[in-house]
Amino acid sequence: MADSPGERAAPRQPAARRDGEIAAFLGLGEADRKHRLRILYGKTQHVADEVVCSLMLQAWREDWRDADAYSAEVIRRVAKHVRAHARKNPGWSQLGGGLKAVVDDFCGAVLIAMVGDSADPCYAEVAFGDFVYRRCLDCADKLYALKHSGGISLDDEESTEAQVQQASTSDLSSGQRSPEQLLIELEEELLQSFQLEKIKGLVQTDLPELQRNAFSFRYYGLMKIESKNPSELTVVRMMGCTEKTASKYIRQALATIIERLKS
Amino acid sequence: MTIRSNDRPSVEEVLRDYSSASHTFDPAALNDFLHRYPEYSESLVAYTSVWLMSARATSEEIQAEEVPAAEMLSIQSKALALLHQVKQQTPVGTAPNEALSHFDSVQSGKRSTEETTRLEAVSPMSPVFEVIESLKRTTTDASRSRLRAWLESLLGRDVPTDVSPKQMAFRRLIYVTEPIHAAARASTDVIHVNLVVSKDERVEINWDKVSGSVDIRPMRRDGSPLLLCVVDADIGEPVELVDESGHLARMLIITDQSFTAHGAKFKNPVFVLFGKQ
Repeated sequence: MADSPGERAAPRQPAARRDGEIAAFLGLGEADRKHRLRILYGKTQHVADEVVCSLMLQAWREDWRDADAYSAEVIRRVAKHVRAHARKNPGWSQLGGGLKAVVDDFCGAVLIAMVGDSADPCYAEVAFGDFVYRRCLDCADKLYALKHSGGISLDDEESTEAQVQQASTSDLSSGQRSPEQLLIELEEELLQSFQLEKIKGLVQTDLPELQRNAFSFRYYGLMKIESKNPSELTVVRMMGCTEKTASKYIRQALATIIERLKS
Repeated sequence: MTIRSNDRPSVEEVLRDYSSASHTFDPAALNDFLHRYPEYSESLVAYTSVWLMSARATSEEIQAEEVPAAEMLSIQSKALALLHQVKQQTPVGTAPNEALSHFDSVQSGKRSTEETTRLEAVSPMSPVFEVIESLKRTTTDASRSRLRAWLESLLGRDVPTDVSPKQMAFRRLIYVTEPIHAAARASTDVIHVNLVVSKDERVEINWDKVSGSVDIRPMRRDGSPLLLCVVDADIGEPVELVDESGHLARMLIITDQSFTAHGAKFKNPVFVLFGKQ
C-alpha cells in the first residue's frame, strides 16, 4: 500500500526559509545566477526548488526586473512534478482531457496556489514537492467531483443497493463459497500476483465510482468493512451503506481488476 | 467583497487543512475533521478516496520526466500569463492568498461592481506598508485568532481585548511599524504614504520621524482637500476621519506610544483602517 496510516506529518511549516541560500544566490552576478538555475538536480551547486520558489515569490511581490525569469523556472520545475504525477495517475488524464491539458491546468492551479499561500514562509518554500503533489490532489478531487456532478459515471448507482441486497441473498443461498471466503481468496490472489501501483491505474480508470471508493477505503486506507467500534472509520461508515453492499462493491471491484489484469 | 454569513470556513479551506494535517492518510485526522465539519463529510470522504487511490511519483521519476521544449514553452507561457493576470487584479501589498479569489473572479469573468471598485481603489500603493484585504477570512474565529496573534507579534504586546469581532472584521489593515523606520528617507526622515480609501478619495499620511508628528490628510483623487476631523483616542478606540459628506474612514489605535497630529494625541502609527462604514 502506498499510503500507510498513522504517520503524522511534521507541522505545516516544518522549517525556516532558506534565507542563507537565497542571499548567497542573490549575491551572484546575473550570468552566474542564470547558470546556477540551469544546474540539474543532484549536481553540485544545484539550486533547490524551495529556494527558487522563494526567489520567485519575492520577485513577484516586489516587482523585480527578472521576476518572469524566476517564475519561468518555477513553472518548469512544477511542470516536471505535475507531469510525473499525472503519468502515474491515468484517471486524471482521462477526466481532464488528456495529459497535456491536465499538465496545463494543474500547473496553473499550483502556481496560483503558490502565490496565494499567505504563510511566511509558505508551504512551497519549505516543502516544494509535497506542496505540488497536494495541489495536484486538490485538482484531481475537483475533476472527480465534476465527473460525479456531471453524471459521467458509468455506475447505475441508484439501483445498485437494491440489486446488491437481492444478489447477496442469492449468493448466500447458493451453497457456493461465502463472500468472506471469496474475498480472502481474491485478496490473496491480488496481493500475490500484481503490483498495487498498476492496480491504482485501473482503479482510477476502470472502476465505477462506488466500487472505486469501496476498494480504495478497504485496500489503500486499510479500513475494515465494518466494526463494532462506532468511532472506527470503516468502509460502511465512509460510504453510508450496509456491510453487504460494501462487500459487494469490493468484490465487484476485485473481479474487474483481476479481469483487466489478466486480459 | 463577499461577507460570509457565518463563522465556518469554506469547504476548500477545510479540505486544504485536512490534506495538510498529515503526510500520509491518517484515519485519526479524517475522524477529527469529520467530527468538526459534519457538513463537509461528503467532500472529505470524496477527497480521501482521491487521495488514497492516487499514486505519487518518486523523486527519480520526477527528475527523469522530460517535458518537450515546445510543450514546456506553452506551459510557461500560459502560466506566466495567468500570473500576470492575477497580479494585475491583485492590489500591491494585499495578502497573497487573496490572489486566489481574484484569480477565480478573473477566470469566471464575474466580478462584482463592489470588487471592481475595491480593486481600483487600493492599487497602486507604496510597498513600505502592507494592506491586507481579508474581510472574508476575518469573519471566522480562526482567522480572528490568527489576526490577533499576528498583531500581537507585530506589536510585541497584547491586542486590546475590547476590540470587537465587528471591529476585527476590518476592511483594510494598514500597519506602519519598524520597517517604516528602515524605509525612511535618510535626508528628511519623513515618511509619505498615499493611502487610497475609496475610488475617489485617498488619505495622505506624512510621518515626521524627527519630530514624531504625523500629518494625516484626506483628499480627493483630483487633489482637492477634504475636511478632516481627528479626535483624540485611546487604545482600542476608533478614530474617525470625516469629510463633509460623512465618514471617510475609521482607524483603530492599537498601541500606546504617543504622537500628535492636528493637535490630537495619537499613538504609535499602527492603524487599523476600516474604510467606509
